[in-house]
Amino acid sequence: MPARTPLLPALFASLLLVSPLGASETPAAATTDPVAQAWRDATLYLFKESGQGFREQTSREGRLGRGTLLLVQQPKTEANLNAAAREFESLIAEGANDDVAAASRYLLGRVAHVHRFQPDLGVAAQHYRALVSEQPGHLLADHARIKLALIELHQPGLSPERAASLIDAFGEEADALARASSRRDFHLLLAAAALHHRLGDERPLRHYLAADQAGGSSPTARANNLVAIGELASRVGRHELAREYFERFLAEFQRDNRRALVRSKIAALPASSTPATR
Amino acid sequence: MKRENFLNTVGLCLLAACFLIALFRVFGHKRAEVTDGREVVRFAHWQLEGGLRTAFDQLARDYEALHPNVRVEQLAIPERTYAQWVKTQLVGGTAPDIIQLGMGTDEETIARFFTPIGETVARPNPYNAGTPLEGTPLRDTILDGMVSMPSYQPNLLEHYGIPVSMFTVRMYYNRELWRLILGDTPVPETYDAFLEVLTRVEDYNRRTGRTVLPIAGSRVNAPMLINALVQNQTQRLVQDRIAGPTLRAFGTEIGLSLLRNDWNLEHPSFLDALYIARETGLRMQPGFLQLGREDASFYFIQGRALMITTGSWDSPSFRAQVNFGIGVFPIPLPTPDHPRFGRNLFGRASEAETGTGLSFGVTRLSTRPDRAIDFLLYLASHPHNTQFTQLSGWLPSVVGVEPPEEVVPFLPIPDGYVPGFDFNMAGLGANSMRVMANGANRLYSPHGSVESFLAAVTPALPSAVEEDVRRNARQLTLNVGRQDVALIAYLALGGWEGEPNEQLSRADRVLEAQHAMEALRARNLATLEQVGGSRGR
Repeated sequence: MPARTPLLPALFASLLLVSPLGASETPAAATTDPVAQAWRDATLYLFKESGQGFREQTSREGRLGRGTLLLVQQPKTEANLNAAAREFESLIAEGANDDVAAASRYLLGRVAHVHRFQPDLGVAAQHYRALVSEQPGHLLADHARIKLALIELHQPGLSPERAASLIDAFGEEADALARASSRRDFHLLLAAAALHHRLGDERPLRHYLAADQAGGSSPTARANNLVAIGELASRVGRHELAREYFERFLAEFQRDNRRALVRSKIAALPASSTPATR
Repeated sequence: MKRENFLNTVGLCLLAACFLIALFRVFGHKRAEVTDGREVVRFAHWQLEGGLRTAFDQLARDYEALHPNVRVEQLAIPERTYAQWVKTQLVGGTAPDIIQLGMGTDEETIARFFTPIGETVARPNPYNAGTPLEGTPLRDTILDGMVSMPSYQPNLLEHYGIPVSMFTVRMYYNRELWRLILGDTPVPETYDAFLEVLTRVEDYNRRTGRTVLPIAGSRVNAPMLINALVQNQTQRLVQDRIAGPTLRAFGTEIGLSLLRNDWNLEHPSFLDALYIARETGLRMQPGFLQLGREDASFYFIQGRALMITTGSWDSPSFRAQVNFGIGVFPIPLPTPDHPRFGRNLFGRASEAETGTGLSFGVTRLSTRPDRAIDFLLYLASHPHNTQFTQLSGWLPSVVGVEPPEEVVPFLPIPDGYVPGFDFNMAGLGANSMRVMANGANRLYSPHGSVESFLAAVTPALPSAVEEDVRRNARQLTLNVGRQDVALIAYLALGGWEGEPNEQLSRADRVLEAQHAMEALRARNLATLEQVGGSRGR
């Protein structure tokens, strides 16, 4: 049998080296700060470029970036996730009570909550609680509270009574948050949880209203919230409130296919002298 | 020289020759781009329908007349190979400046290879100067506010495409055949009048021995008609049993409500949906589910079918290929006063949320992205989108553009109600779709029946739905995981907190979207556990 020469593989390998396949073809906007550039690449989901940008960085923010990018490095492996966790723990251990430490603690929670192949909700909750305790006023501490509520409200076997009591307690916690956007997200979670546990109409209505008062929702979420408030208010007999929110929806969303249904619901509302109290 | 060495040498020489030819062609192509000293902008799409390429050619020539230093080249790639072509061109670094989004352009590909155009979208389109849209941000000059995919990528929180058209589905009919078979009978406005037309075609066939198909069906065209009927019949079911207070339901909610036994496949509304689907499906040619789109088109174009259900995109092609007049009307659906099917609905489904399409993105490989974006702005401006719709016979994408007379029947009908779900269960997933598709032959075969369909589908659907919900949860996990990275990046770029800025605003959007997705995922998985327990798992 004649020997086969490896000419063909060698030729293709050399072609690959000189072809555009070997080169990065995704230049991002030029910037002088490599850390900022790497973050910018991350916002565009250019994770490979972003990871490369963070690779040689030694600043705290650069190391945070390196750890963060390990969470999405392909192939996703436990080794990468462990390396990311080590980087975050090392940043926290340096003792600075700064944004990088807050983000590191938050991401440790996220690693256990979302990124591990086998989530460990207990560990995730520990990190979220630690962040709330270490930097209670930080934006990410607000969102750690929301993640804690998410975990608790979706435990297996949660009874409706326990769910109701948890939602009420979390509602007070949500009201106490200083940032309107955090209140909005917290109350929306509680409204959805109340519907999921089928706890009647009053409780989700209360939380949708609180989210609406916090304001700042994206257009899609706002349309849903206005309709939900109108519908729930109508179901519990708060007809003027229902009318107010349905009409706000109609005024604001001209291209939504729920308009005819909402109009028919307004038409079905009985005239009432009850003020639209919230 | 030994024979094997000789063969190796010949092989090597041939490869080297091929390599040199390829190099010459690549560099030759680059040279051709600059030989006349003009900038070249190349754009690719998969729309081979008649009329469109001519329209794009005309617009390109007009743009060149306006910018004498620019040459615009159009690349029309067949639909069957488009996705692979796009991937190959992007990875190989040979992609044109502009590519139509929507096929072969998943989220990762868009993020990696396309230029975000958020800033362009927020600025007025300069080609709208002197029109009522002058000074209006681009996104507000587009009919859907540029909120539809693929122009807007919700997970990336960014715009990547500029749309030029939009699409609706209608019934087309052969005017000459209509007159021959049905005389002066007007086009049907009600479902019963539609059924009567179908019956009269069959009577005509019996009388004359001809074999005119009432409706040309295929695995692409038939579902457009049948799913409209199914959505019509499941409208009340969605509101009564599935949708929460937001008054709409998506795929996973429909699937989970089925698993939770909030409704089942023998619910009267769903049974009516099956009966109406069978009633219509039986009027198409036998075995239509095995036929492709082009087969159904041939039946219609050759005058062998009275009607066909298809999208507005086929209108110019059909008109160019046939020697008979073509009429168009909305799919006649049961109305609430229908004696049998009216109980299941509120009214006609609204087309108010019809998204824009024919959306083009600029690749990061483009060496002249500003010029490429400028050409797209030209296409999406009031005067030139007007020209586009007149030349192509396609719907416009720009606010206030008056389409020509033959395009008017395709304009979205905004009045109406939220539709129900179709046999794809509002896009729940591939597994449930496969189960429904596997049962379809039993539903549409003359020897089949609704009962036979249910016997095949009912036992298989729950596990398929469950797998689709789990798959959806895995996708949500993937998305929120990536968003963690974007969130920290936006916070770091925005200074973490303090004075409001664009980056912090985007971080807020990420957080809002992430919370919503994680809550949905948690609810879906918790519901699966509940129903799994109740089903003895």
